[in-house]
Amino acid sequence: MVDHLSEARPTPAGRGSGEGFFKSLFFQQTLFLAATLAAWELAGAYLFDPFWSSRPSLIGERIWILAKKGDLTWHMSATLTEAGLGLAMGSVIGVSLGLLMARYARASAITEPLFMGLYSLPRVALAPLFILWFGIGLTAKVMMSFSMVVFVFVLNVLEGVRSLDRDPIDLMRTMGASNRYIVRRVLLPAVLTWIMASFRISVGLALIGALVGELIGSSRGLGWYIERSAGQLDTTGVFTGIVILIAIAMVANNIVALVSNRLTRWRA
Amino acid sequence: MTQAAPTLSIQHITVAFNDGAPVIEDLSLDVAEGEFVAIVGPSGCGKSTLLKVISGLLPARSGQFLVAGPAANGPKPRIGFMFQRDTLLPWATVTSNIAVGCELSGLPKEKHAERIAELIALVRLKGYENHYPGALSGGMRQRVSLARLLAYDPDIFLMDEPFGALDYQTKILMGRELLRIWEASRRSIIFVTHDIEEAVALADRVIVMSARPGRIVASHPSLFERPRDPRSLRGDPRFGALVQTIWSELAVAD
Repeated sequence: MVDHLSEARPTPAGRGSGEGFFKSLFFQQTLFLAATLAAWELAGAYLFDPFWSSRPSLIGERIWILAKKGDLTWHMSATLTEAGLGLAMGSVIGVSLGLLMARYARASAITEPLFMGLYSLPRVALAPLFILWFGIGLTAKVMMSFSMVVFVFVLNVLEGVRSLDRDPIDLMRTMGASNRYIVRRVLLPAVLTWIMASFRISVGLALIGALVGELIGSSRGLGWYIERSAGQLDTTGVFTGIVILIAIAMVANNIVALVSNRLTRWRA
Repeated sequence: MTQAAPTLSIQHITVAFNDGAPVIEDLSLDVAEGEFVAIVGPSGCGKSTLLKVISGLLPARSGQFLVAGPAANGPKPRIGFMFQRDTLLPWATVTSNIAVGCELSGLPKEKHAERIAELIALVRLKGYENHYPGALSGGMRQRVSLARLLAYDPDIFLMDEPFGALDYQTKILMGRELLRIWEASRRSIIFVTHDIEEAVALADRVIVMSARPGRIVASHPSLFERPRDPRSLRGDPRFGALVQTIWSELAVAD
């Protein structure tokens, strides 16, 4: 039995090392992406009219043109600023609110029904209101983004505080630790894990918020570009906007994952 | 042993939760300076509760404690607690976890590094300074807990089945380590356990508690000299006899 078990466990030789490059995850991911693009290209050339689904080569060409004219940075920077500011505001206010709600249990119990109602409300419904209040400029989209992500932070921080391990806190209390010491040594590091998880979820949501705002009323941004291209039946334009958004999301997710792994190295 | 005032004097303590039946009733116990007292008792007899009351985590309904400081009007005597669970901070390295003890002891910051290095050597964790608790075995984690406790430099050690979650071999080994470390500093220890052999092997005095409400039913001074090796004691006929006596007392107490 034992012999069988130990033999049945193969040693993953060379996984991730130089010799196993072709078996590395990164290589396989890139290969998969390339295959998808190739299939799309071929389908656009031989199966469907590219009017419906465009083609990667056309999209690549469009991105090149937009980049040369400066339109790419113009629209990308708008969307990134909106989503970025929304995410920044949402995280700061969400974390603070979550800590406050954890601290004042009664007050948070009183406000909980309304809070959960707001949380469950499809935030898209707020977009017309924000346009009305803040105009079609930056603020409305930041607020949209903010409204998408703030609840994620509040609820995660709340859960993080509620699931705190009491024993280390009790132990530090017997050693005469002050509240401030416990907050710094136990509470904040424990909640940090939950905050990083919130960031992972919120990157996509912040982009949704910015996009929804742009689709409803704006004069620049990737959402505006998609909307305008669709109005002109320019499928390549629509797909160009979508592809850029996917690329942004992928990069942003990787950055968050990298920072998150750095900060929570102890979990490895 | 010593004629000096006891380090800790518990006088007629009664503890109850929410005005229910008492968990501990009229319990008195003196712990001398540098004395190693073990408390054994059936589960639920309130031995862990007693430690929590002494540490101030739980209130007593009546009775009082006298904790002698190093000097009258001197600094408040320090109480160090060690739980069965290691209670280490999972996001802090071994060094940083031990630093908690230094930080709360009020030791000047510039002396922390040196003290931590000393303690890591003492609990034999050299080479693991930058490991996180998740990467350590149960025994090693309790060594870190012990080092953190020592870093706090308490006058009284309260240990609540500190090795109870470890396997038998590691438990014996940790008991030996504890004695080795304790013999160098000789602070008072109250060591709660349900393992009679462990109590007899380690302590100067073994207190036997009854089932709820917890009372002291017997107190046995140790028959063995210090320094001692708990491993060799186990072969001694007097060891077996004392364990047997305590067993029967516990059976009666049940």
